[in-house]
Amino acid sequence: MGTELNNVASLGAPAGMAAQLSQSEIDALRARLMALWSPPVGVQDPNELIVNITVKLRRDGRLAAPPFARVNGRSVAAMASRDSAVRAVLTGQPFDMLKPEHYDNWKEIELTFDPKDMFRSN
Amino acid sequence: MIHPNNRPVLPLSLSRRQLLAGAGALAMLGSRPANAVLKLDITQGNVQPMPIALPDFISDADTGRNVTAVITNNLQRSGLFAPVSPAAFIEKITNSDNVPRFPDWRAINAQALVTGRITRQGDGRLKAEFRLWDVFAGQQLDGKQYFTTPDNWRRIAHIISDAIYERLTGERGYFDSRIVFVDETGPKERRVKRLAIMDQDGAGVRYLTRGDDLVLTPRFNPSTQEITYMSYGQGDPRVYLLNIETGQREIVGNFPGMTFAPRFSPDGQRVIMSLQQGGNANLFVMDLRSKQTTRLTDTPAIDTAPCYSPDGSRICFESDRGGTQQVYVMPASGGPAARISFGEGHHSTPVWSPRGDYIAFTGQARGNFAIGVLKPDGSGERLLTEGFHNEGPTFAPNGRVLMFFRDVGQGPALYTIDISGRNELKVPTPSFASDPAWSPLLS
Repeated sequence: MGTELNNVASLGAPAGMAAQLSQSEIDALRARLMALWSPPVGVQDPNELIVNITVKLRRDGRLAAPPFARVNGRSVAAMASRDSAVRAVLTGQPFDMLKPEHYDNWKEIELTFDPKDMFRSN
Repeated sequence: MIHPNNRPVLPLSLSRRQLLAGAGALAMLGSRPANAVLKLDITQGNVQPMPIALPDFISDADTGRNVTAVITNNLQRSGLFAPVSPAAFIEKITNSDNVPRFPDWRAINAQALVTGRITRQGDGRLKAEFRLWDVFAGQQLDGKQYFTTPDNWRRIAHIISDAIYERLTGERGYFDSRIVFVDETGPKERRVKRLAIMDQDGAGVRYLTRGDDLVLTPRFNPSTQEITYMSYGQGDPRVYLLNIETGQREIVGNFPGMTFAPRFSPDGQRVIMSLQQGGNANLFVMDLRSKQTTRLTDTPAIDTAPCYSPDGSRICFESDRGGTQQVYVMPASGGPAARISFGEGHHSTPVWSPRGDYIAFTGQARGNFAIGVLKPDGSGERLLTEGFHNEGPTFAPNGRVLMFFRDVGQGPALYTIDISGRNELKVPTPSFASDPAWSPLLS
């Protein structure tokens, strides 16, 4: 009968550009890491707390290798922030909110932990 | 090294501003090559107390258990740690040198673990040692040992508490410190006021004066065992110096008039105070060695409650020169003073954080007294307490916690609160207590 189907691109096509990670998967991943991350917020220089972690994941949502974390400098605050971010990544496994059909898009993730939204003044 | 301003560059035609508009997310809009790395910003965490396990330090007699109890109490009261109940422990620690069975501690959700040991040496000294473990990463984070006399076990517990706190929070600790305050006993109309000193956790209270005279505003010398305070002896109120160890007392200066609100300079060499003559009060500073006195303000107003910035370059103080009590900042050598408090109501008793980033004050508005903080440039003012009486803030050595006093009717008591406004706690004192001052770290 040739009815016109909707023209929304199908998600979950086998490979290439159409295998898109959805916003809800990303939001759920961020929400889990936010809930697990307890940065030391009372410190004077918030820039010391920024942690960059590269994470490689297996298909089951668990880490394929230990997370690789980088911080600004070697102050106690930086180390405490790094430890806290690494702990969040370790305890957040498995990251089951990320769909297996989108694995190519999330098998390697670069996380930047930066508590800038936690420092508010009136 | 990463640089905070180097945000990842995205291989998309949308601008960074458009992408970041969605709650800091890096949105996956449009197409993306399948093998590009997903980049995600986490800009908020949560401020949950960290679960920490503190099995008793190993020792004969009770020393190990006592030390652990002091450490546990310190960490819990900071509001940043949640000690796990010992009833839940699975592994029993018998040797603090052994690597713990981390799965046993993960199973009870402890994120950090402290093991330790106290042993008596042949020469009678105590050796105290501890190890701090990251349970999830499965590794040791810190370990130290200390030697001391047996009666110093509380100080060791505070020093170890500070080491644990610093490694896990990234901030300097504050547990190895003392509080000097005014102990108040007796009925309200005939209160006996004595200077008292105690550990910051309330232990070891000692009285420094006998209660014959009315005493006020005790303050620590940052570098020596001295306190300065105000006393109404016979006649005018005077500023005194008191040596904590020897009990020796002397009057500071010989001023014609009443002297109030003394404080030491950060190097401990000078005392700054308010001198009242006639109807107004001005700030004076006296060098303790040369006895030379310098006038810092000269206004027909009440200038009082001066406090140095931690680097000694500036002073904050309270003045009613503009009509109401407000906080002003001026160079330590005197000169033009700028008002920094513009929030609602009066602002008095300013005190500069040892970190330099905040000035705390007593705020009065609509009949209520509250503890508040603002930045030295006057921005970011916020109130930390509720209720109708809270007065006289003093900072912990790390600038993270404030102590103050509150009187809800029967008599005043000491309280602490975190600078974020959380975790308000009552401080145990033998009787009513007011006017606290927090010492620097003892170590």
